[in-house]
Formats: sequence, C-alpha cells, structure tokens
Amino acid sequence: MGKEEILENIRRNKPEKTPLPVVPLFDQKEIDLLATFKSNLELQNTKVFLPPHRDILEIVHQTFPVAVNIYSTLPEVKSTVDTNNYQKAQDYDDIDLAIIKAELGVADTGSIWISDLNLPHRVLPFLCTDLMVVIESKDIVYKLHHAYPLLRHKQPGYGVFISGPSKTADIEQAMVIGAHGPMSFTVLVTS
Amino acid sequence: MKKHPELAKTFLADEARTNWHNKNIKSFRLKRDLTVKTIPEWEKLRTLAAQIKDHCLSHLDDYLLEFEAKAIANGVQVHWASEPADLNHIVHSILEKKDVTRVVKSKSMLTEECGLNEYLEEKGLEIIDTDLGERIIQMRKEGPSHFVAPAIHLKREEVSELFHEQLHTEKDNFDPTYLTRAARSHLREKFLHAEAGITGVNFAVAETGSVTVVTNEGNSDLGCHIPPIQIHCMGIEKLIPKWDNLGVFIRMLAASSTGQRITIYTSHYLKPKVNGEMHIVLLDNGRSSQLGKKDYKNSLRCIRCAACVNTCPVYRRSGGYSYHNTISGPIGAILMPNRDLDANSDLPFASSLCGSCSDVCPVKIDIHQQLYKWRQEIVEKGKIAPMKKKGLEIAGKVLSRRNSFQRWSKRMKFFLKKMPRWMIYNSFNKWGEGREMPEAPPYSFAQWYRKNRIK
Repeated sequence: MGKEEILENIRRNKPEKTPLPVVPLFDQKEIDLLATFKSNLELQNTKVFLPPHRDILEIVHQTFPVAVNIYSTLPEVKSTVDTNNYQKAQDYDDIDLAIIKAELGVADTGSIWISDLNLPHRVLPFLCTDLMVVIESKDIVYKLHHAYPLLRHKQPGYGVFISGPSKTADIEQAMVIGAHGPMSFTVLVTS
Repeated sequence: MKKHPELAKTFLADEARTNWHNKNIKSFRLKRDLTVKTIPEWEKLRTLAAQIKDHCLSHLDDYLLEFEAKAIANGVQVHWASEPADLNHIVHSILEKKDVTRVVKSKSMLTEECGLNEYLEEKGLEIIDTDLGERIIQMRKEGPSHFVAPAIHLKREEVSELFHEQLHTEKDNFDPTYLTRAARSHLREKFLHAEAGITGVNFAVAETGSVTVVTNEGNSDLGCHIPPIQIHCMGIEKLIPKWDNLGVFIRMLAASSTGQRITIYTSHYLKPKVNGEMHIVLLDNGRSSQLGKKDYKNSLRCIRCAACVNTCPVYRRSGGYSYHNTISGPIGAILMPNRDLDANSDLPFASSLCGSCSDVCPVKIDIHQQLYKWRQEIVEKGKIAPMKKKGLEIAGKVLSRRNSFQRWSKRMKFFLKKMPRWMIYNSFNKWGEGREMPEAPPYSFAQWYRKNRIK
C-alpha cells in the first residue's frame, strides 16, 4: 500500500519518454550588475548601499539608531548581545538587528543567498526585527541560471534567497511591509 | 450539491461587489504583464518549463525513487500517501509519536484538499494557519477562494470586524497595516510556542532530495526553524529533476502569480536541523491516473501560480467559492473532473473558452483545449443537465440543415425587428438577462451573396 501502489500506477500510466532540455544562461553582455542588483532590490523595498560608501559601523548606527540588541556574524561589527546566550530558536526573538554575511547575490531578481553554513541558527534572519546583509560585489551574479549551479555543491542543510523585508497584501491587496519576518531589509555591497 | 451556475448567481447578485472583485483579481493579471514584458526570454522559458515537466512526468517513478533516496541520505524521512486519508494519518502519526499538540502551518492547498486541519483538530491538536490570508479564512471557518490570495474576496471592514471579535483589535479600525501588525503579534506567539511546523511544497528536486517553498511573509521559515519537527506535504507532480531547473521555475512562479520578479523568501530545505526531524509526505490522490490520460495529463505540469485564475473573466465574476473545490478557476475546472466527474461536471462549462488561461500559463498547459475535451466527455457520458442537452440537440438540428437554418434565421430577424421588448426579454431569454440582443441585419449573408456574387 502507499509507495508500491503509487509506483505501480505511475509505471502503468506514464507517457512516452521525452528528453530533458538544456537550459541556456540567458546571459547578456554589457550588463551593469551592481545597478541592476540595486534597482531590483529597491523594487521590493530594500535599502541598498553600493560602493563607495561610508564605514560599515557608521552606516549601521545611522540606519538603525534605536537598535539595542544587535547580533552580527561579521568580524567588523561586534554583537551588542552575548551570543553565548542564544542557543534555542526562541532566544533570537529579542534581536532588534541581525547583520549577516551573504554568500551570493543575484542581480536579475534582486536577491541574496544565506545558508545555514553561515548562520548560528537558521531562524536568525527571520526573528530579528530588522535584517541587514553584507555582500562582496564579486559574489554577485546575473541570473538565477548563474546562481543555482554555484550553490549545488555547497550542500547546506538550509538555504534561502531573500529579496526584501517581509510583506503581505492579503487584505484587499493593500501592501503592508513587515509581515511575520523582518520589518526592513538592508544590503551593503562591499567592493 | 450546488453547482457553478447557481453559486455564481448568488455571487453576482451583489453587482457592486462583483465589480470590485473583478477589478481586484484583474490587477494581478496586469502586474504579471508588466513584469513579463521585462523578460525577453519569457516564451523560451515557458517552452523549457513545459519540457522539463514533461520529461520529469515521463520518468516520474525513477525520479521519485531518486528523490527519496537522496532525501533519506540527508536524514529526511519520506512517506507515501495514496489518498487524503493516508496523508492525514501519516501526519498525525508523526505528531503523535512526539506528543505534539501545537502545530503551525504555512500555505498548503494540498492539505486543504485533504482536510488535514479538521482531521487534526478532531484528534485534539491545535493547528494554526500562519499565512495571513489563510489565517483570516481559518478564523472565519471558510475555505480559500483563491489559492494564492485566499482572502482576496474579503473587504478590509470584514477583516477588521473579525479581528475585533477574535483578536480584540480596535473596533472600526480597518487600516490594513494596523490589522497586519495585530496578526503579526498574534502569530508570533503561535510560532514561538509551536511544537511542529507543516508546509506545502512549490518544487521538490530529485537530484538533491530537497524541497523549495516560496513566501512573502516568512511564515514557512518561522514554522520550520523554531519547532523541532518540520513536515512538508507535496503532490507527486511537484517534482523537478535537477537543482539547476529551479532557475527556470523560480523565475516564472512569482512573475506569473503576482508580478514580482521573485518572492521575498525562496527557501530550500535539504536536511533536518540539529536535533530536529524533517519529513516529506508524497501524495498521489489521482495524480498517477491523470498521468495516463493523453488528453489531460498536461495539467500535471501545473505549478499553482494562479495566472489562469487571475485572467479568467468567469472566475473574476463568480469567485472561487462558485467552483466548490479548493483549486478553482480554469486549472480547477480541468483537474477536478478527473477526481470526481459527477460532482464536477459543471466546471468545464464555467468558461467562455476565450483561451486567455492557456496564453498566460507558464508551463503551457492547453487549458482551454482540455476544457473543451472535458465537455465532450461529459456530454458523451450523458452528464449534462437535461434542459441543456435538449437545447444543444435542437440547436444541432437547426444549424446543420441549410433550409432549416435559413428558415429560422428569417423568423429570428422578424422577431427581433417587430416584437415588443417584453416579448424578447423575459425569463425564456437567458442570454438576454445581461445582454442586448444583436441588431437584426437588413439581409443575410446568403441573400447578399446571391445578389452580389452569383452572376
């Protein structure tokens, strides 16, 4: 029952075999990757800082003046909380600002990739009130077709493309920024 | 059981509301178009998506086995369910083993189809839908009227009233931001105390044994990362062969659905978290038999974007509840008759066969052609209403005999020209209920041809 019955039914019914197509990269020369990255992120209410820009600590203090509990995975920015106190998921609920290093960026969709290979806990980018990521410009690729092959071999347990602050338009299609995840999203691109 | 014409009539009785609903849903189509115009390779992507799905479906048994093996190697537990009752039983067993009583669920139409919530509630568990639209309808004890925007049929005043009653928000405050913040607080508590999280699956990848879920709210991730147990429920047709194929589908899903280039969160779940459990439940429920139907198997390519729903003039003016199924609109009309032809024989007729659905489908399902094929099958099996059957028979007789056709055309022209309005527009004239009859032309084409062309 279950598995064998289902497989048997599939074998009996499956249509004639067709080949798997080769998917091109849909690349484009002369693309300003950083400008495309920035504008697509901004479309989904993300604040973007491209190089050249001020020192990261200055940006953090100016963008998030009232953030008290800051959890940073970057060496350049010190967490204001004692990270040893953060073990289980619920502990992360009091984080005002999380600053995380992104592994990859996609210009065409305006997205960054974070995975549990670089997170103290998978929930950190979701429970924090505000989320900021830092990404090196060399890690930004054009389209998802470029990105996925680069991610395949990393084999994280969990990975996510994030493109903006959480949002919903479920009430009469009125857009509300800040649904269940973070209320804001900031991306700092370093050269 | 009430069928589409009767249910639609109820919906249409409120003309102002129908117009509002129509405009609301149409805006999804317009947003989709704006984004698609910025993607020059869109038509190529549609072809590739259709080919990838067809390849996968034609090797489905092999890919499902590959998927299961890879998932198991990653520490994931894989379960197979033939019917909805099996899925419900499997999910409950997983939860019961660990004495789970508090469950959160992110959007899953599949679990709606199975009646999972009712099943678990009967067993004494609390299951909270965390997608805002789903939570709203859960609180109202209704089903979704649109499978991407479940509460799209509701006005903000109704949501305000609901939240005032159940969440004690301010009376008559119907600002969507205020209401969404209230839902955020309420659901944050549920997330923090949940013991298990259930999600649907947008795409499952055979090569990596992984599942991908897309949201804008972040509720899928909160539901999976906080509690120790995560359960992903999927139809077997959600499988795609390769990890890299996600590049094609992720681009197309949000664009087709809401006009976004991508949703806010595109989450990839590969392995359970440390000290956690990850389960995937595969459901058949008629999909493996649909696979064998040459005329209808293409409907299994569906990625549940709802582009067809948003563009359909009939859906927009009749609402999701008129389709009496979780999956409504054009795709529902070609999928549901496979499950139960008697119960769903009305659905393929809820269409003007305009073909707009086929135009926007990201995986090139020939929806309007399948609607037409279903109609033929339903008529052949004698499952249409007797009045309709008689009407079609008479029309067939008149239209297929030249003399009969010309005689009746003349009579019709005379009738339209000479008869008073009350004789033309009455309860016998269903067509005329919302339309003006065409103007009677001065002469027929046959008459014109005889006069002007035959020498």
